[in-house]
Amino acid sequence: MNSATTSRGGTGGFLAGIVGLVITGAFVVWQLAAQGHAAFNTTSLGLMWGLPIVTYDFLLMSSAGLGIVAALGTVFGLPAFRPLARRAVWLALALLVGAGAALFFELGSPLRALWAIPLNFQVASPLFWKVIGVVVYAICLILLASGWVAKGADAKPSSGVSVVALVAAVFVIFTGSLLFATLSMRPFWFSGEVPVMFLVESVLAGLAFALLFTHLAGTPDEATRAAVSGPLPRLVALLIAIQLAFVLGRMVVGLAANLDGMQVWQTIVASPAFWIQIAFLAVALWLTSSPGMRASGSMQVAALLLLLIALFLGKYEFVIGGQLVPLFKGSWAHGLIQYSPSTTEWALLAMAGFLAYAVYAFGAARFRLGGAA
Amino acid sequence: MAKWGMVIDLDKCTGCQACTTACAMENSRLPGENWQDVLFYSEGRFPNVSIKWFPRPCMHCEHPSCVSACPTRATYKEAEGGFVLIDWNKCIGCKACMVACPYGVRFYTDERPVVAPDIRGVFPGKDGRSWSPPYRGPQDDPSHGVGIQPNGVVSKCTFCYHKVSKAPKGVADLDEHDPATKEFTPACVRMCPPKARYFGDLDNPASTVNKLIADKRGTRLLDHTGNKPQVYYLSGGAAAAVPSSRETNKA
Repeated sequence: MNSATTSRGGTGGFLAGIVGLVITGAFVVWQLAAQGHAAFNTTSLGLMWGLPIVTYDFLLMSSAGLGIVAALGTVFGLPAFRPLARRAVWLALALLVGAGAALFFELGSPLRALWAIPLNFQVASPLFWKVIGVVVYAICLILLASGWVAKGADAKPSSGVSVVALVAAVFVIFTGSLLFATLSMRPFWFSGEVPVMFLVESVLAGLAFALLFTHLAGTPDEATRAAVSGPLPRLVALLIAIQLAFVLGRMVVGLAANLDGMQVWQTIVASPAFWIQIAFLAVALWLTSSPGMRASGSMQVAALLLLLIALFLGKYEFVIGGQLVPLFKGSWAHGLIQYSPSTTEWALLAMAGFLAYAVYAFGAARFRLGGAA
Repeated sequence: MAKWGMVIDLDKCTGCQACTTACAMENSRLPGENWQDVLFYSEGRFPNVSIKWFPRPCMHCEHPSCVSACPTRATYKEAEGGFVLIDWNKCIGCKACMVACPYGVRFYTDERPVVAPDIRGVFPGKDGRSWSPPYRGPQDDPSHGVGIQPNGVVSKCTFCYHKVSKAPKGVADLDEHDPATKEFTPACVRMCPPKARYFGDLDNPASTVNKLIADKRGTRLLDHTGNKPQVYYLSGGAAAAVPSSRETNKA
């Protein structure tokens, strides 16, 4: 990889990310300062968790997936993952920062959360364990970034830190799924397969991010070129097929079930976003499983972009769909809740994205993110 | 040690919403953010339509899903009395408890007003509180979620903790008709015109609530969720009833 070229591209990307961050961040701060959380389209009688939580969850789970991708080469000696490992570590850190920003603006008292969660030891809460997992995971990423990625081409990753990072990433994914999966009053979420679905989604998103940014970085070395055009797209195709099975399987069960609350599926299936998600997953599956398409970098970039959009739509459908039944909320028994994100919520999504991209581009400008570990 | 519970006789409930109003006045609630609410809905289609209603306080569950969702112990189950309460000093406003509550009894104050216009603009809050109502009760106990809700936190029905927790020890029932317990009776129970609500110690076999539950086969809402509410409903099939499905219509 031509480090000079990468540095110039990374610097430009960093500046673009900062400009986007400043514009969208200023809008979000202005709206929240003027209206508080009334700037979001969430209400006490409607939806509780809106687009900001979708953004947070998508970025956090993708970060954990990247952590797994980064650690697989070191922990299990899988050579195909090694060319992506450095970039995956830095991308994981960038997405984690973006996720944290989205959550910060969503919480009612974010500063209080810094001490209230770790010091009150609510061990019965999945969210408590999730935060513990995220803290351990973040420390591992910082150690890998500072002790390996930042130290140049000759540095080797610590196998001990990589093992802890891998375990912490899986722990974050499972605990992140538990709050949804354990809520028996919301049958759309209440299911034993949800933690496994989260794991597949997260690894798939992590792999997609790592491959996409490797393609976009350009001029890979031989080992990287072999990995990104051979075994890794095949793995992506396999995971897309499993993801499709989860989505379609849940849809069939949801449409067939007569349990009160599963009518959400009728609304979801009637929405264009659901079919866009299915179509994008199917096209991405074709582009990553076809040998001819795998050889084309531009086709792979298109496939990975479609895949990431589909995964985001799936996350939106999952988080929002589970809340559409109002249960006993409000003075009137409604049908299903209607929700569409506000301008501020969209701006918060963009802000988190720009922040994550700025952090990534900073790393791309400063460090050598490509090449085998 | 008492385990306070409520019995609501749906055959007596007229849907007058005196309970809602009494709760709002007692607890300085923002308009529309009713800790104690009455849900109205219709069942069937013309010409076979019936209007129904359903009173819904917090269930103060024995195994509350909101408590295990909260990452900070802000939502907790009080050992003495069995109240499910919120410590506003620990709440971070993550709304996990709202998502985890099967009964929709929780409110996050920072969002769009439930009822327009936004009365918070007329009576703006002071000292971090959500609003300054023209009348407010003297009680202020943030660690038990009592008083005017601060910004950035979740609130809910406390079973009038500020009154019930001061009741004489060992009393079986809190009844508005008994001068000895009237002042300790929750506002919604005390103000119910048709006497559809009863409040007492579920662990005391001699309490009226226990007798009503046994004699009239008291049932609990969404019992399959495992939350085990401490609010029981009595119904012989009169107008007020538990909403049966999503097929019900907004009245």
